[in-house]
Amino acid sequence: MNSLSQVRSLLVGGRVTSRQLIIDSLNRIDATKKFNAYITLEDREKLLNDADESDKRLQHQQQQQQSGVKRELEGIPIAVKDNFSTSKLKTTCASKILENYIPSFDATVVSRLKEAGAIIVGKTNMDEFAMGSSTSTGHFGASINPYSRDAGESLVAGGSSGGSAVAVKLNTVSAAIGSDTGGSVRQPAAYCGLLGFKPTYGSISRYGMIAFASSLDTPGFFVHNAVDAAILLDVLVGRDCNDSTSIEHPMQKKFQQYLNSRDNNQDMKGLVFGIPTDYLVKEMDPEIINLWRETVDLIEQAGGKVVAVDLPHTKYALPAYYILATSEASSNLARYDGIRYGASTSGAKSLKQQYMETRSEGFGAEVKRRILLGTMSLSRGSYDNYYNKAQQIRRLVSDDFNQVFNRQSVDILITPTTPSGPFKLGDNQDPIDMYINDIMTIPASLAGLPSASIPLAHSQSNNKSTPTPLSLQLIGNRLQDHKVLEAIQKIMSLNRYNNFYNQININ
Amino acid sequence: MLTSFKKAINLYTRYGLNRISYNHYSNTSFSSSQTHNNNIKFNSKNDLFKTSNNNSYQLVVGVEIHAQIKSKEKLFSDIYYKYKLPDSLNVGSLDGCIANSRVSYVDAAFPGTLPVLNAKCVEQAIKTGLSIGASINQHSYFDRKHYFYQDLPQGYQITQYHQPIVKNGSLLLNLKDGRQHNIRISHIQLEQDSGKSIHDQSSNYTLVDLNRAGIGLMEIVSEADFRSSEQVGLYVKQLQQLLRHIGTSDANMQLGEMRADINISVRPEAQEEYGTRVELKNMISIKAITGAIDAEAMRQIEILESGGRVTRETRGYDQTTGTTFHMRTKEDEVDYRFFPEPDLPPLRIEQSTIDKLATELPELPEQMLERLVTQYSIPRHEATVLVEDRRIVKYFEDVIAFGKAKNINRQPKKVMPWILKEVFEWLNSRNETIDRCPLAVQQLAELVDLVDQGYLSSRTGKEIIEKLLDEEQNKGGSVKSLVDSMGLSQISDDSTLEQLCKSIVESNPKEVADYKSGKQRVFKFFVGEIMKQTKGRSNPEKVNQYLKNYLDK
Repeated sequence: MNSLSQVRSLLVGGRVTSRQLIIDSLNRIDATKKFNAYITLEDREKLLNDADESDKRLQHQQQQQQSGVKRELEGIPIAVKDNFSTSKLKTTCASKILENYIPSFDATVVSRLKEAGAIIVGKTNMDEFAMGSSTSTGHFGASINPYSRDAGESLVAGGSSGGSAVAVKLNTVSAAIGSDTGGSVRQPAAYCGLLGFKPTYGSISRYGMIAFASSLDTPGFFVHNAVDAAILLDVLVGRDCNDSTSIEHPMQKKFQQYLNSRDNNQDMKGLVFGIPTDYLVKEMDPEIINLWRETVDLIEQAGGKVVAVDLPHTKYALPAYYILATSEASSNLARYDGIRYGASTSGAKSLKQQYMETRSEGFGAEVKRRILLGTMSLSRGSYDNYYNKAQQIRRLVSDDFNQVFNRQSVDILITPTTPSGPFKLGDNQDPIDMYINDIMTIPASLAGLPSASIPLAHSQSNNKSTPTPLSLQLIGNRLQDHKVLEAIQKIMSLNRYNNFYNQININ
Repeated sequence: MLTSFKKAINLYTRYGLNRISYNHYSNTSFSSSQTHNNNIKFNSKNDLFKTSNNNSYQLVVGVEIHAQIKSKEKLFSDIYYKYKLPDSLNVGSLDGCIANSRVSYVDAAFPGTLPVLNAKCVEQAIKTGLSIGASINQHSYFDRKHYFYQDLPQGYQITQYHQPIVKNGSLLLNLKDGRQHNIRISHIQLEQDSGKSIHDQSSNYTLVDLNRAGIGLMEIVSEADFRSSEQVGLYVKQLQQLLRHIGTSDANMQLGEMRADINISVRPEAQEEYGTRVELKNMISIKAITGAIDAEAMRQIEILESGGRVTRETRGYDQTTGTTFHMRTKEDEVDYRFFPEPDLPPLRIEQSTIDKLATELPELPEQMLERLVTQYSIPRHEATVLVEDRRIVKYFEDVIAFGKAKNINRQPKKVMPWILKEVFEWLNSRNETIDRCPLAVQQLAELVDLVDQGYLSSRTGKEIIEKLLDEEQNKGGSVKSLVDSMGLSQISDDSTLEQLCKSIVESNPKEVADYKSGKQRVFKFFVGEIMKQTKGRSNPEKVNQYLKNYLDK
């Protein structure tokens, strides 16, 4: 395991060059091709040139004996989900309709990574237009969970940011960018045994990120630990004038500082944890319930205060989410008509035929399903009963959280990330079963709250072919991303969990 | 900049679209409703149509005006244009602009782009709202309106469906016969313009130009308060003047900066409820608007008279035949699936912003008209002509005020004729604006003074002003030196004039005899002869005086 912070100190200390890291990264990518983590790789020569430039800067820095880090990510290989626009590098959203689309501009996330010195090695696989929980709906095939054992026992990576999770898990990069609309970072992080972080909605710009559901889409990332998360938050968080929904964050550029200022031990004093009993659903895997219970006990033993809380509207969150997300998707995807960019049908004889054929040929089944659902929810006869009702539920879900965070003074909610572990590729063909995967992650998405999935243990049950990771989710109050970081740091360093990455050796 | 955009040029769309004939009429004047149909007459006294069976019908019209917002930037796209446009041009000044040259990634709806509201456009809408006495909605928001069309890149238009920025204004129409008629304006909403589809360049392809896509529009929606086409024509004209006056839109209909949709129905005079309305789309001149309303009113009355029912539909207007034609019925209408735009937070406007904008508003046309009438004692109809363009008002007032420090009191009634006739002739014949007029304020002021002082006859003055209105000939110097160099100053010298009069009287004995026998008209002959000989330069008062002296001797 090479964490971002480790790689950074090796680079800054001159013990490794960016060129070596890039070569290692490309070799790893090549050796792990069957996991299908990447859709597009950056040109090798360009990567090496960029690495050499970084090495020069790092060398200069060493010669000047400058202390500290000039650019947070100088020379570090990073992978980016294929729904972030990258100038001159193909950006497909795992869709046939954008199969050959090459953006002319960088997403704000990408430009901020580059400004921090990061080197984007490639674009990772995902569910088409980020619609899915398995990274198997895309035009370029499924990503395979590194925990899978061979012999036709492939497990899904989770989704929709599964490619990014797999890329980090396979050590092709030490961090990867994903996006989280209803759990698309947290769920694959749970399935692949990584830390997945979704910050407060609006704290990282969406500009250049290809929209699925604008009011929910949140850029996020996969890393190994809280320090790495703080590094990326320092690079990425901040208002962007190109995104009207982006906001100033009181902690921007101060996340690492904040984390350092906290006691770097397991002392939980001063943190109030809430246990939402409404999250205890009947579909939940007993092993996950046990982990949840055990962690709560450990937190209390470490001096943390734990209270049971009510989030009574939780059960309505899932249907509300699927109405709102599909409604916005049906609108956001209207622009793919094959006229200005993207795949286009040939030989259409009318405008209507042009639209119908381009979109029928260009979109996959799940995307079509969601466009249809969303179109229905927004239509004249259904709007009041669907879209409007869903908006009202969203408000109620959000009010539930406000009650808990602001009235009951809870700092962090602790819940499972998913009801169960990664399923086998090809299972869960029923879309409704698939949607249930998001049941724990969706409420925080509806409320725009910072939330993370942390890997703590591995499955011990004998009926599984391989021990798969078990994770919990942490949810903080709006703009309290630093508190979530602090909780991650403390829980992941509990004695029982702190050797998670060494428990199982994969690949 | 948009290389992949070339595709748009090759869009293959051979579908049947009803074309609207884009005949441009430079003449924006309009006449009161005329009927082509002899059986139905419009009475402008009571605004009613009367059929040959003596049935009376009332016209009910509501108007939606789309006016392009005057701004350097589009409604939601980045500041790209600001640095490329010369001062005199706005992002909507598209006349002669190369197709697809004013398009950003946002305008072409590239994946991942997001709208960012341009404050200038909001201010313009607020100013427009204030100028029609409307209330400004301090909390408004945007909605998406969905439909698929090649010139709508996002697949939706961002508009204000639920909470528009301006509500409840009005415009008072000054009708030709001196009556006034109030039109309530229900709201103004901010929205994006679409691109332009060009159907007539190829029989197989539709071309798309996205220069217009994303430009800010104010949709100004009236109540159904119009009862004649004249009222609608006046409304459009007054609104156009108002927007230009306060600088929120150039509102040129020929250039598509201002477009009108008309909702029209008729009802029997005694009937309380409105009839079924028909929408007339994309009217592009005042003449087309009034013509289309009259034609459509006739059509609807004829349907009702023959016992039929008007169906709800959208129609276009063919100016060459003077008739309206079917475009689509209500069943063909798409479900726009409005929902709040998730990429934009609600728009909040502080009261202090509104107050500040109110102080920035210039004197409004109505106020200006009243002031001109009282301050300068000029007839209302003359003042009305000036107020049509506030730059002309300024020109007029500058001429009056020029050299005021030197205690020159220039009389408005002596300035007005030159402006109303010669200056306006120059403006209209060239389709020019006053700021490009070669006749400088001080030149007109000097000319008026010279005529007033008798240095120049008003007839010679006309000759002089023609030279001054000619860019080639007006070198910008003083008028007096021009008059002198041309030898055109008025002959007021008594001995010269007396000598002239004497010789004319002496050399025309027959006419003198006629005059003496009582034919007073012959006097004009003598005046004419003198003017002929002096090329009109003689001081007419003095000529009259000397002629009388000799003739009546």
